[in-house]
Amino acid sequence: MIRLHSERAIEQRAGSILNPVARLRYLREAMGGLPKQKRTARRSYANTLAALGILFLLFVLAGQALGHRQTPRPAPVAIKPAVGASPVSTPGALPKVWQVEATATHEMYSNGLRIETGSTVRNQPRAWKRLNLASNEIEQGGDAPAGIVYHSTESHIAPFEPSETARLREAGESVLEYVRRNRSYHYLIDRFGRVYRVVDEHDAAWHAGASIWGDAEYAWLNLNQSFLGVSLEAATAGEKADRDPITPAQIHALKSLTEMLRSRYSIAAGNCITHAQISINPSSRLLGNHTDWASGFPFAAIGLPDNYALPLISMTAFGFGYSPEYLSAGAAAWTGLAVSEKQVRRQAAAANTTVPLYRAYLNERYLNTIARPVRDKESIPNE
Amino acid sequence: MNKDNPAGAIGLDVGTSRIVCARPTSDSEFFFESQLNAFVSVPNTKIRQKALRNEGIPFSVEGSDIVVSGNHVSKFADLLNIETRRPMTMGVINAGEGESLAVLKQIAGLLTDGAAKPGAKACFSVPAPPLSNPDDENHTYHEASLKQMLSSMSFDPQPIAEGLAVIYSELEDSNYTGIGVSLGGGLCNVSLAYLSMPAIEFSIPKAGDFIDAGAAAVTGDLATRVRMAKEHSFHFNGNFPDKLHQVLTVYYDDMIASLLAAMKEAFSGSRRLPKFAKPVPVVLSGGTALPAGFRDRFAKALQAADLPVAVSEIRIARDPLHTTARGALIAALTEM
Repeated sequence: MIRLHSERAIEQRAGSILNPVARLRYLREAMGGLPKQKRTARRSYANTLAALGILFLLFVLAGQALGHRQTPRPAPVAIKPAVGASPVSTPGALPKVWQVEATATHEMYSNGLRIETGSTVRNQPRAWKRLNLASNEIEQGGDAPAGIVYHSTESHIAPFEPSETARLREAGESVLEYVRRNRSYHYLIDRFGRVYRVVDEHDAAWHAGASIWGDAEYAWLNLNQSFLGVSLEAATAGEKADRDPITPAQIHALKSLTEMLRSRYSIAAGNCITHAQISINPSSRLLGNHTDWASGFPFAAIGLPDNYALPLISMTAFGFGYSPEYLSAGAAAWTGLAVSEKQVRRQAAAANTTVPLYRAYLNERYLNTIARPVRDKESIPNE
Repeated sequence: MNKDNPAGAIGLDVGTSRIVCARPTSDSEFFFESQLNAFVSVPNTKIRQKALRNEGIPFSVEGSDIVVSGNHVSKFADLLNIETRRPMTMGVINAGEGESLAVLKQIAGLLTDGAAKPGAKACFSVPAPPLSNPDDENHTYHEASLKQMLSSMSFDPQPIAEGLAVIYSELEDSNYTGIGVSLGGGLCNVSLAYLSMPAIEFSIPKAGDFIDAGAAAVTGDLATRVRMAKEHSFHFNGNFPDKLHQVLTVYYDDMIASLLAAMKEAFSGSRRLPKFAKPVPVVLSGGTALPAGFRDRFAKALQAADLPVAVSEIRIARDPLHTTARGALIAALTEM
């Protein structure tokens, strides 16, 4: 049996369930427990052989990774949106927002949004990759972004009080200069709710790192290229954490900005998610390389559904697990996490294998068909 | 205690000596009932039928015989000075008794009558195959027969290994990781599980009946007397009031040694042995584990056995006579 970090997470979650029947039920489901007990040695040997056969197949496939003739592999269960998934491919109730004014330094929009454009820089043009879930083919493109990833700057934060205005302005200017220099986000919203376009929307920004998100049609890979990065000047974790990390002005600005971007690019509500939901560690095959907005993101306040309830394609299509730290950061409260786990178990049962082996197969799928080295920051073009 | 069964599930410990039924109550407790797994049969006459009815002893008519089963058997056998018979031997259905299944159904009916609605989940214990014969067909037949019997009683039956039922009953604190040992009359059953998943299961045919028969053969006593002494006055403290106690100690030590040798063989030779991050607990249950001092005796022998699995603690189940039924009921409840 392949022991994955997810089993430690399963163990930890089980420990938080007080009722012994509920705890056993959770463990039997999480560990892929069969409804019937394996009783006879004959059946046990047969299942052991089947498991070894699958393991052997995985090793053969790994050996083919350099591009030799493809070895037939067990047909994966079609990746379907999990129960509870919102129809994210369908635009749904898209807002209608249009530009009403544009100058050298700012833009105004019909919903009251004002974007400061005087600090905008260029970066390398957008060039995204996505996995077409129906055809299992990698598609490439460079047109409109598919979604929005929300971040927090985790920068130095001064108390939001009148007496701190000078420090607040200084901190905001400092973080703006930093993210501009590093092409960190497409948009930054400071503590006063001012919206700055940092990197041009036609270009990639280095906001997402190794990341995966998906909807009913596509799995998006390394979202620097395919999603817009919007960051709030805020400190949400650790010693810098503020009790009220974002101001009402920031929420208002974020709502207006989200409406404009969704309107402009027909972005589905389910493709507006937080960095914690998409960030992965490809080496450990765990979620949560970054955990900003693992909890407390104001989806409802900015006109979005509770996207913490969305399933994670990184789990259901690529077998990623998560650490106890990820749960502690806030992911434990996501119904999307539980939905994803259930879907993996269903898929494993449909493929007639155990959950750990099935996850290993999905990991191998990630490596063979999707994984690419995370692109470091390209040489920044001179301004 | 309110004996209503709101959850509509039962757990059955189908043991060689006794059958125990567990059901949940509306008080969130578990309620246990047990019946002796034995029967007697006498030629059918109307007078005998009338006498049994007057005594309130349930019976069935099988062919030309009256069959009485369950707890009433001892009294009836004494009354008529006849031998009791057993529908099970060595943990499985006694193929030498033609009425075995009919009697088991009668006893199960005594226990489950009114216990749950039709279609209720019934998780029943079955022994693991012997270590020496993993493909033992007697076990396959036993499980299939019990399943069919319970289906005919309108239950939705599901088997569970005895050792695993011990783990489900006792090891919630270790997330159902550890070793469960059921020391019954016919067999000792062992299960090793990791996070509720059984990894290794087996049984050995040395248990309570082996001790009784061996001690009886040496001392010349009746096996029934030996059993009574074992259950009421025997303990492991080195003081032997008579030869019977000394002989019982010898046969107990033999059973313990055989059990640990089997565990060592099963764990060492299996590729299914999980890699545990920390030592695991061992729980002992069943009537054969009841004598005072048994836990310490077993622990001392285990320490010397050098098992390939590190053990954190060894303890006796909270309610050794009801552990298997309790674990079976918990398993049934998780499937609802």
